[in-house]
Amino acid sequence: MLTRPPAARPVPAPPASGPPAPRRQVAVPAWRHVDLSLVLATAAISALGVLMVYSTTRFGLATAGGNPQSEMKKQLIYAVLGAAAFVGTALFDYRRYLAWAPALYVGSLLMLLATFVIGRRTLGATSWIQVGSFQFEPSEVVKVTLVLSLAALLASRKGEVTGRLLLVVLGLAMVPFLLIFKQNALGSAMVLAVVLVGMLLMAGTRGRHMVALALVAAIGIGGVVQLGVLKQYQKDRLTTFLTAPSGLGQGTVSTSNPYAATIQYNLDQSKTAIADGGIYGKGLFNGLLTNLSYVPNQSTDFIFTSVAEQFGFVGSALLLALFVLVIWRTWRAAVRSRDLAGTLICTGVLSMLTFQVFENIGMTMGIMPVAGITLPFMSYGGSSMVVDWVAVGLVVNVGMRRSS
Amino acid sequence: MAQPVSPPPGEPSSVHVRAVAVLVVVVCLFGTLLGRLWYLQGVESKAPQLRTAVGEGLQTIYLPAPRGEIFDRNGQLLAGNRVEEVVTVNPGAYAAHPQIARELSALLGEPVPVVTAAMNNPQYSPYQPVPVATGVSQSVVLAIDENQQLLPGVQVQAEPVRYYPHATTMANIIGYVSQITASEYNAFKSETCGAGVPCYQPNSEIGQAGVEATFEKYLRGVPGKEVVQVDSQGHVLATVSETPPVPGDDLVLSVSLRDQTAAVNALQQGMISARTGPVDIASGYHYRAPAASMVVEDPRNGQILALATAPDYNPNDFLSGISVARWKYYNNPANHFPLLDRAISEGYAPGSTWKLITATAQLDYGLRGAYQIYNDTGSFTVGTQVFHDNADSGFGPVDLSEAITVSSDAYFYSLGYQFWQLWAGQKGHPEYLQKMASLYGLGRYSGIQLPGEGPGLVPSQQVFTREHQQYPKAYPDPYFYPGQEVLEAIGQGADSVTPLQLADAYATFANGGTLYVPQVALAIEKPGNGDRPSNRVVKLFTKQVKDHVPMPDSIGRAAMLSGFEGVTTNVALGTAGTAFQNFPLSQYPVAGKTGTAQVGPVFSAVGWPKYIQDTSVFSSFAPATAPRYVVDAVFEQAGYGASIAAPAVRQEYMTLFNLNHPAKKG
Repeated sequence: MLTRPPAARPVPAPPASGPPAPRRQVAVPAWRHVDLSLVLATAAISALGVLMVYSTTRFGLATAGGNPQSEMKKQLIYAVLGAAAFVGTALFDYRRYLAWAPALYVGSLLMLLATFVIGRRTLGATSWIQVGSFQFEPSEVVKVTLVLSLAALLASRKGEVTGRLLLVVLGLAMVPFLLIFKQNALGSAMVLAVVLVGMLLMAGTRGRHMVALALVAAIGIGGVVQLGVLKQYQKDRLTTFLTAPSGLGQGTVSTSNPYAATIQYNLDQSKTAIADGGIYGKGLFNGLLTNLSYVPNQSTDFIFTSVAEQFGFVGSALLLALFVLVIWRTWRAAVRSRDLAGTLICTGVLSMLTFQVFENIGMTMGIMPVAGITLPFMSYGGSSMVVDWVAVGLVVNVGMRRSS
Repeated sequence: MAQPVSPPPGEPSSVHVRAVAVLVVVVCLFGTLLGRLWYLQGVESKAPQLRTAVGEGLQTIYLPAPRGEIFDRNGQLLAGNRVEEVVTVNPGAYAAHPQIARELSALLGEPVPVVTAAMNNPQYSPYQPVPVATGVSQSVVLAIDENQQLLPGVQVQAEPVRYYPHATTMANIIGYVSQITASEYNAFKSETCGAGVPCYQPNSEIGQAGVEATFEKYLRGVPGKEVVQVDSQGHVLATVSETPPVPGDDLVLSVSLRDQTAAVNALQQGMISARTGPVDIASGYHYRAPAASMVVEDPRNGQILALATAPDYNPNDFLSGISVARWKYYNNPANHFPLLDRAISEGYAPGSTWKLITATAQLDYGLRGAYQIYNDTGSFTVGTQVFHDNADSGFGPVDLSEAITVSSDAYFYSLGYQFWQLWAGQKGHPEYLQKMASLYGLGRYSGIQLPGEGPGLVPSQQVFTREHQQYPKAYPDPYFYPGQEVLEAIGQGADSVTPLQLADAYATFANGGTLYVPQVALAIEKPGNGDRPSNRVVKLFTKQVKDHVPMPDSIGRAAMLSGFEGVTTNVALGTAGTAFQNFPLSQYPVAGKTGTAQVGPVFSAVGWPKYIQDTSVFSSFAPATAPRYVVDAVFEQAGYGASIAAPAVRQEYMTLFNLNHPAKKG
């Protein structure tokens, strides 16, 4: 399943000929292989996300004198945009994207760099770019372009990851990693790292290389912490969940560190809201804490709390099951792919989704550090919604173009 | 596992192994999430601190219940609820828009600090609009409606506000409501109405005087309860549950507005005629007549028909917090304390009206027969002390009936001395005169359902001993001397009787010996419809017997009755004969007794202005044969009972028997 001549085409080679493979099959039969359960599960999560955004924002908007549905409608538009991007992504053979990978990679890096110029001017030291009335986050886009670039590169050597290739791959990943890190979007940088590790593992990186890599990473993390590269608030976010009590109740808050106190508060409220849901939840629009804005960031990073409060353990477990379904279908597409590049694309997406879901939900429940990572398809926001749908589009793309 | 594309033969499927490893990692991670989720939602959801944390989002607001209305016995509204326009400011509006203080100040014509203080009134829940002005005019209402941009969060709401249509006339009976004080709130805050709803909030109204206070628990109703959702900023977002308030029940009084109005007028005219009439011979000055009171009672059941006191006050002054000026006015001694209900609280020496007690005691004990003649020489001497009659010449030989009619003091002085001798001469003998006074209800609380009743005082050795022990400086001499009982027998000395007690005593004689608890309330009824009583009775107040007085035999009682009747019918000798001239006594015979009580030291001892003039008292019942009314009147510093109190009582009877408009009657 792994190596087929068409996929072994070296990536750096310019796409001289249009279609990279002899295309016997037409688009029509390929659609028959679209993984409907994957698409439906993703759509269901997105729909739930729209509903949750409504339940968490309507009162706040109404009291501010606005339209209580305005953010819900925006999120609905993002979801529709995401679906459109999904269709667009699935439409063309993924191998074409592999051929475009260098351009996509360079383009996304340029956007990242642009945030240091335009982004700073418009929105301070954040990771946003304003295009017209629309803002988007290049760090989200980089996740997908990096997956494509790494897949193209790692598959190019017929599945043999040599030391030289490894260094190239590391270098390729390091540039966006450092740029995002520099943007203070630590969470997004961590996603890139996890994607890299997952793809390396799947590509057949040798054991000793992985050990060496782990050592370097450990030294690097140690160095970062020791040398004070991390800002205090970044350390606070990473460590607060360790000092907080595992159950409910107020953690000991350092009065000399107001930022740690707000993190602590966010965590307390989040855990309280989740516990408030109990087994069956409070019912839609009845979750007191999440409906009345008692949980900070409840429509974005902490949106899981509103599911947990309103639908309880049963509903939350169901949501987890939907995510498991998405990830399992992604894994299945990876295993069944007709070439290594497809497998690696799916693995990258799998690593990205798994890490984001685990980190985000784990954070709301106090078992993972607080990092600014969105819950795929649910957190309020357009960039991550569109990018996550594109990622699923790639998976479906790989899945439906497997050999028949 | 799904069947992948067939691996190249011979090559170990390392990718498969890795894929499975990835799957294991994924399963582990999601298992961790699920376990943690169960810990929080299955285990920690039962933690007690969760409830307190979640409770922050819910706030309870209590809505005041419309207060029950008060009616007189004929269904006339005495205390009602009027809908007034109240300007309120939403919580947080002032903090967000400080300019509304200035705008409201200009609109309401109040200084900015007053408006600011009202908006920041801590007695209101922070989730409830705070009232800033009550009873504003229509132009203010319009101005607020039209300038909502300038006045965000300012609203006008129609709210029920207590009002008293017959303000001063009924003040002492109805009382008033006002906002609960801090100490009252602390005392009552744990009290619950209905299903666990606290009866009072820091801004609740509460009955402060009169029946508004004594029947508070019926009138107040049950506050409504509203649970609202509040966001983390304190905005009220939605109502979770709402229990409407239950209006208070209505109170129907035994008092008649017509009789009360007549009594108030009689007091006013009596005071004026005392001040403008003949000068006081003892002092040589006009009578001051600063205060007076009148009681009208039904002797058959103890129902109070009128309970008037002068001077009076306006209960509407207290409704939205009494002004400092009004409060000072009401408490200035120069204004004779209008807040005092003299009819029930003030003890007076009753003068000769007390002779009812002495006469009953003499006949019951058998000390002197009804027709036994006593020679009134104009004075009575005990040891070296001489007690003079009002008429120095004396009335000569009198029997009981004549002694009452002409008000012979010596006749009763001598009886007082004899009762003292009986008690002093025989160890363990009861203080008989005092015992009879107590049976008539004197010297003890009547039990009327009004706050502030006074007990009066019946002097006895027991009382003197107690007073001496309690206040040795004020009462240095603990002994009860014979002279004190001699004075007591004619209602002088230390005797102290409230006008209500005096009416009770005469009602007891009039009905044949039953002392009732005087009653102001007839019934509690379901809320009426728009200032009309509903006539749906919740609780009925029936007559209550307090004591029985041993009545003399029919001959003795007839002698007493003829004596009391002679007071009004005997124009020549009866002390109130003049006052009841031209009154249709044949149709409505009035039995009564005048009283003129000396209050302080004689004029020569203290001089003007310290001298306190005589109290004018008259007590009566009518019709004498089958009494339906007991009427008494007490005028402070107004002279003879015959000249002021008796005419006032006569005037009241004119109303009671519908004699003011004979044409209408016919």
